[in-house]
Amino acid sequence: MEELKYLQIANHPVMWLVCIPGILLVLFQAFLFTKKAIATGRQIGLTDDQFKSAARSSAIGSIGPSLAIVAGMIALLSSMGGPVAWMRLSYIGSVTYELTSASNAAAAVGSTIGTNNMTQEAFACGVWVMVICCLGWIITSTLFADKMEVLKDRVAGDSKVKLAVIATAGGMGSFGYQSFNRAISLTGIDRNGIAVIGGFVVMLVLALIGKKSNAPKWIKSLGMTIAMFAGMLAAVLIL
Amino acid sequence: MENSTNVFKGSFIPYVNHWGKRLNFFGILLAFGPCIGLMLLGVFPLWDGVISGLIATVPMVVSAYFYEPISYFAILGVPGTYMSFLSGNINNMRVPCSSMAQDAAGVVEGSEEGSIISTIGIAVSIMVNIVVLTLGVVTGSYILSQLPPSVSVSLNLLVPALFGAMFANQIVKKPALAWIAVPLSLGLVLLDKFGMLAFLPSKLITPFIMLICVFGTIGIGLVLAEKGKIK
Repeated sequence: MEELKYLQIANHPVMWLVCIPGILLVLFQAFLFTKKAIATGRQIGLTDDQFKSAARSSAIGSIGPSLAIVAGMIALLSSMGGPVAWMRLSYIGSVTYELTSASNAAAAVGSTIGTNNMTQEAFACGVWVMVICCLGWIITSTLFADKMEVLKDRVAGDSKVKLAVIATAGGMGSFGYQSFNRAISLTGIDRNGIAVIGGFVVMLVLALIGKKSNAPKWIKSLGMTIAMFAGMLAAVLIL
Repeated sequence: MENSTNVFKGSFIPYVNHWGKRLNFFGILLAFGPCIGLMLLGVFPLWDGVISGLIATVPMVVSAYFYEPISYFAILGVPGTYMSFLSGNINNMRVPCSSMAQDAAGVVEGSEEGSIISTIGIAVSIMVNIVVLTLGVVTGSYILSQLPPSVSVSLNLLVPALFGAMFANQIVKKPALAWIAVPLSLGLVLLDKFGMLAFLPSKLITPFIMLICVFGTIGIGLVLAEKGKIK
């Protein structure tokens, strides 16, 4: 199949060049904050072992979600080109929203992404809309990060229990909604539902074992990854 | 203890806020990279199209601009919040990785130690994500197009499984909170599925439920903690 005309623009070397600085900025900030966090962590009594197990667990845990993002990128790659897909999924964007933004914009000028009625101008509309829509997250989070910390300190005071309640309750409420919303379907259970339930049950068992004082270390560092893949497998095998 | 709090609050947090704000606001400019690239190549959008595209898309996402940072802030911590929202993919990647790192290091989620460990967990997840995506995009369409469609369908099931696993993990951490979070989130999802929230504009339903689940669980949880019923 001949490459669609707008994709020649989308995959142009210039497009790669202009996408690189944003991704470098993400890496630079991660480096800067990690350096400071390790120095501060040592001063407040954290050990190098703790840093290492945190890094290891997150590295392994990142693989599953990254693969899921790559799966989402396939669609974005063929419709919006390599550079934009690459940047939008490593920089501010989120795999859940990007394709919708792009297709809304293309539809607004009467085109369909990934087809030959997509013009260069329609592609440009898609890019502009994707970029502008992602700015909201970075603006609100950047404006409020320090204020939320002040508020959290005020609400929790010196109580470690209250700090833990705020963090755990926030996660429980939001992941509870996201789990039930996917697991419950009035038309009968689907693969998404089985994946949610599979992940939930496996993690529940692993986390309960991990809570015991003599639990093997791998449960805490690998539990989530195991549960994630187990849930996926359950969904694939059962339905 | 007093001294460690001073290092954290007196030096670490101000440093992070100083750089976080500057780098993230600079990030807004860099986000326009692809737009600038297109203009350099002489391709301009139809501005009417951009505006209509925004009108169609912004209402879908605008509430997430607010509820996502608020819901996840306590797990991510201050540095984690700057890093996560600069890099994106919050609920499907940064929050789980931050939480996994804090579990593995054995620190209390939301504490000062938790905030430090979260920074490391998120930094690592950012690097892994960028490496995997770069490999994906460079080896590119070729390898991806060789994979049977069932592979990408299966990979898409990782995220719902991850949500279920995160939910279970939070429940095991503070089982008492589950008595609030489960009825709230289950009840609201059922109300929504049976169309009983239809009095709300459809775009407000998700944020409405999210905010009640998150703040309801936090609020009632704090009251119980105050009374000493949660340890």
